[in-house]
Amino acid sequence: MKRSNNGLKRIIQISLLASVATLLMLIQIPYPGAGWLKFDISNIPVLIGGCALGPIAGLLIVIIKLFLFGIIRSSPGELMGLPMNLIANGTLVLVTSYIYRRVKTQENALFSLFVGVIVSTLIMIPANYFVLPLYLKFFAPNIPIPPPSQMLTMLFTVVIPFNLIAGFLNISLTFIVYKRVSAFIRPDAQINLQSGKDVRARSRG
Amino acid sequence: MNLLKDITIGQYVPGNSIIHRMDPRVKIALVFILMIQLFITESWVSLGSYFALLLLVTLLSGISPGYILKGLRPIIFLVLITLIFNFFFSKGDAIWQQRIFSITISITQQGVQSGLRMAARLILLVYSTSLLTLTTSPIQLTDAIENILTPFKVIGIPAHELAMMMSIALRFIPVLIEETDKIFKAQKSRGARFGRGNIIQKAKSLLPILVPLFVHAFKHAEDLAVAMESRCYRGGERRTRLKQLRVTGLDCWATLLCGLVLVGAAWWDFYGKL
Repeated sequence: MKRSNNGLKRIIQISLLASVATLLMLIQIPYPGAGWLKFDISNIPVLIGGCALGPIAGLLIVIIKLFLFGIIRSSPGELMGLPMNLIANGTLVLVTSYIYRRVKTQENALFSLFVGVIVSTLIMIPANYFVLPLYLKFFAPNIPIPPPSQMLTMLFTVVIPFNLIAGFLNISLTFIVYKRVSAFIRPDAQINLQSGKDVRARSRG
Repeated sequence: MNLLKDITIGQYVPGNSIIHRMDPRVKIALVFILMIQLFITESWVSLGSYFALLLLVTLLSGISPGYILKGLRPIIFLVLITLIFNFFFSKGDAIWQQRIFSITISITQQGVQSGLRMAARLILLVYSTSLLTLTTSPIQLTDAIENILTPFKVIGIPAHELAMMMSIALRFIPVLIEETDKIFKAQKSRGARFGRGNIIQKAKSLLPILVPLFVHAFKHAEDLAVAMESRCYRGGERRTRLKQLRVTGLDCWATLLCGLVLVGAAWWDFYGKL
């Protein structure tokens, strides 16, 4: 009985976090200089879910978020970005939550978030290098594909700074928010909205 | 929040037309197959026949063209960019040239052709997906996805749980939008300032919204878990449905029609010009 209750609750918590993530993803700010890259803070619920419920839960939140986003905003230009988004956000949440859940301290949380951003930025370098020519070839078949040197310049001036800025924006907000809401996600949390706070959460400060 | 006002979730238009009554699984499969054909083909005849098919479906579904045009609005910018890029940056035989200072700008024949083709593809792509979502309710869509994913249970994909998570998440988006709006107003009335100062201050001003939003989300999760538990929810096994998905004669006819268009277009692409 107890066991099934926690399983069901976990599933529902994942869904609600995915819902928040989709909502946050809908508010996008285009990155100046490259219209196809967009900032959003949808990684906050993803990381919170990953840290509190485990890496697989985090990955599920990413997948559901991208799927719902695809249903709601079905414009092909954005659909092409979804697999890239899956690689970037998936790596971030898997790395971060895996490291954080070994030692749950504040220092390790900072460390894991930092490593997550660095790893996902590194992964996005080869990913972009191979996908951008494909994308160009698909949308404009007669345009000559830029030579590798030009591609590398673009990677270092546009893509890497974008991933770092977006990553650090997300993890700094996550770090602050997680401490305040993590008490509510534990299976034994009793949430009382009238008094505004969880009794146990208050006792922890 | 003003940003959240324009978000419409689920553009489903209720109805009882032939297209509405089709099995959602068949609809998804047909749209998927036709979309692949849309991207493989190079000829205008295929694109034209695809467009004619979509027009027929629109007529049969009784959906007003206004909805379709509204769905096309977000991609106008993308189509324009595609056209401009293809027109001016393609290599090939120039049909128009102009020297501005020391740069020669030219429009090439190949560029015009590929640009127009790409624009047509993009428009048809969005047209077909919006027809699917206009005539199929989100519940039907998630049901169909659950059904399509069921064979993958063998390799450990929990089809039922995934579909349920998706429908719960989808269902709570409007609720959370409304709550975000309330939180925004409440914090503003307490003197919170949003969107001012440098980027760090802007990010900081989001905190008074984010924290209550997450607390609300967890509260909903808790309530829903209790509600489902007390109604004896126990996963997908032996669950019965009020509306069973069923493939009918209608779906067979639709598949036949789409197959004819597909084969006809492919035949034209290979043997061309009759």
